[in-house]
Amino acid sequence: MHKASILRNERIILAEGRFVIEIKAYGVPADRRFPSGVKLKCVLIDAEQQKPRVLLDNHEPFGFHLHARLPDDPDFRVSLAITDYEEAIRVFFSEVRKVIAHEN
Amino acid sequence: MKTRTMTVEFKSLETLENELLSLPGVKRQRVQPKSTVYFDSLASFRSFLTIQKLEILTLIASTKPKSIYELSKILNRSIAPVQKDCQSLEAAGFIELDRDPSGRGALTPRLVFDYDRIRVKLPRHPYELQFSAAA
Repeated sequence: MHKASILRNERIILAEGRFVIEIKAYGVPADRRFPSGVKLKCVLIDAEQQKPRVLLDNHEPFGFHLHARLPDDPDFRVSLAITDYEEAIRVFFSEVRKVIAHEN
Repeated sequence: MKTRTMTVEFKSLETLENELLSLPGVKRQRVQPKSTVYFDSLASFRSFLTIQKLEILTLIASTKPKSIYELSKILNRSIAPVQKDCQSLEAAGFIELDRDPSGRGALTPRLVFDYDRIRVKLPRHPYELQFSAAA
């Protein structure tokens, strides 16, 4: 079994400290489960409430998916019809911008 | 005595997104060190690092409290806002909250490493002076 190697581990505080973005990307063997060869977890955390607001990740059996009803329903997932992480990154940042704009 | 430094740097949301999009072209991994905290703008940094939070960091470094309760007593503040500030500092990467091994649920605040100064690198781009939502 191949060990995942970490490619990115980033954290940034934004919107005057109200939110924190955490992004972790691991290099994994490209196969049916991870066609892009990247295992990704992107989360926007409400720093005041200590709760995730946007979570996008890829794991079996869902592929890339968005947890779309956070923080109330963490098990509600929307599968994304994408297989490459670049599109996933764009979707995540688009959702982040929507949340930040909504909160202001 | 050697000083250890926590560095605050600035990076816009757009810059972070572009860096992540260049992932396949980057052969070497890039993991944010524990000694660096990123903010999207000077405005975010200014709003986040209040005098109360700086007091908390100072007291954690100097007195090493065993719990948030103990910290709140030293600060002469009620526990709820101190706990909120600690959670916020943990989310940002300035401190860690270790659970009490006794399992009683008490959280011990400690610096992510033993730093004794915070260095702020000045923003390099004008947009880092602005509020992020406009980016």
